[in-house]
Amino acid sequence: MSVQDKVSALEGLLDRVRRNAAKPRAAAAAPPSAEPAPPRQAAPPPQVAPPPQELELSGGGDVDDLLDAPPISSGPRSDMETMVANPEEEAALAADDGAGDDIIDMDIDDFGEEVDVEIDVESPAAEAADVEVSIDFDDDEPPASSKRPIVDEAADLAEREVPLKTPPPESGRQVAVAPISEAAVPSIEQLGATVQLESDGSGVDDLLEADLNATPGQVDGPRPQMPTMEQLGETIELRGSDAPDAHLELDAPEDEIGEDAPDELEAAIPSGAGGGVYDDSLAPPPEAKEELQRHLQTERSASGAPAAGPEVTSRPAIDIDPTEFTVSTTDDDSSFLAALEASLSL
Amino acid sequence: MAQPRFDPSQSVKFDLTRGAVSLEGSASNVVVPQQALLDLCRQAGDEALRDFGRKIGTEAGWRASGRLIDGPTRASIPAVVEHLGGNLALLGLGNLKVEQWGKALVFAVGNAPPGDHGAVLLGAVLEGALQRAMSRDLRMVVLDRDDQTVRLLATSPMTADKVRGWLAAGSSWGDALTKLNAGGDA
Repeated sequence: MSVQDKVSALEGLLDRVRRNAAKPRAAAAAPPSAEPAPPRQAAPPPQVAPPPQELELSGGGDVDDLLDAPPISSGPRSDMETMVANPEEEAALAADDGAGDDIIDMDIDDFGEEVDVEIDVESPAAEAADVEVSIDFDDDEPPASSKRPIVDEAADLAEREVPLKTPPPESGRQVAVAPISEAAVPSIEQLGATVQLESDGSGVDDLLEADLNATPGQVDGPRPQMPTMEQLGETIELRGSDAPDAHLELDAPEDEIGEDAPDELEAAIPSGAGGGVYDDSLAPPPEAKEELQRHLQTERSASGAPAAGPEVTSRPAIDIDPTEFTVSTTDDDSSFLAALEASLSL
Repeated sequence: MAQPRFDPSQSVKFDLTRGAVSLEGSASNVVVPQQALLDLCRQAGDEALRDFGRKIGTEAGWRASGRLIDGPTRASIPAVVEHLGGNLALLGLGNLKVEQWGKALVFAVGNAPPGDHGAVLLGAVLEGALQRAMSRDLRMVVLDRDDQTVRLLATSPMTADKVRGWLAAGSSWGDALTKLNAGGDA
């Protein structure tokens, strides 16, 4: 039996347990008991009591009359008990009957065999006939039966569902894998049954662990271990040391080439201390100085200025503090007015 | 007595409360952009431009002559250049130099107002300043101008027309000065 079959068998077992747990409660709730005894929650399946709206008031009497009447005890135990196929299990149930609790006892020998479930619902409150019950309809509190924890089966199944396979490659890279703890994995203890797994080492945990160890985002598929021929290209075998020596033809070195005879058109570069370097100590020839003066005069005459330079009087720069200025007497005795009159006399 | 140097400190006062600018005690002055002033001179005409410049120069000559401790008649060339040039600099009309080409007295003004009208305005300012300081009637003839310097010849009104004629005939300003120093016949 494979793991998938085991899991399917477990799920089928869980469904059967729930169905069996629901059947006798529906029958037991038929009498109009004013106060149905809340069964204890010993083990799943938890929802074994009928919903409160199934309660019917027989006779169509007033509620107050019903409340005043003595409480109606629940039916005999034989009405609430389902038949047990195995006598041994019946004996075990009888032994546990003394506790007076709602017991769901399951014994699974093999997944392929029939699973019998006995549900014994016996409420001590139902037997206590002298208990007075008062119901206040004005009370806003919900009935006692509604306080039972209602388990969302869909959420419960979703919580217990374990991903056995990684998503297909089309789903792309997985961002993160939901952490699957041991509590998330449906254990046999939660189901209230004992599962005998095969001893070949291929248990469910091993298979789950194999999936959990997979790297997130890892895509199953053919992984090339070796480069393809297109990636390798042409393979060239290199010669080893046993290959024959290569013969290279090299030009003769420069040293061995004899110097050619100098061409008759070439002139030898004079070699000396001043070869290629100007001597700064050399003075220009006197005729060059005269040539320079003639050149300057030519430029000045071209600009329209007279050949002889004027006597220029410039305004001194004002860059000193007047308080510290010491007046210097000028040696020029000629007055400005005399110069002006001379110019006006022209 | 030694001639004191030109001292421009406290020459220009800005009264921001009244919104007035005074230049060495003058009533009020206006700081205007140079290009706007030149545009006005271009539209004013030669005669109006000369009158405008002479009024400006009269103020400058009056301030300069008041600083010449020996009096205008005895002031040396450097002293006149320093104080008259200092007042021109306060007006923003350039840096004054004086060149003596023989007997000819040439005023070379650097950083002068650009353009022909700027040169005419500057000559009118110098005419007014020298008339006020030296009490002489003279004319300023624009000999040459380039991007940096304007040269103006101080001469008599009659000689001024003759030099302008030479320049208009194509003579260089050097030749004009040479002719002028040679008696006008060269």
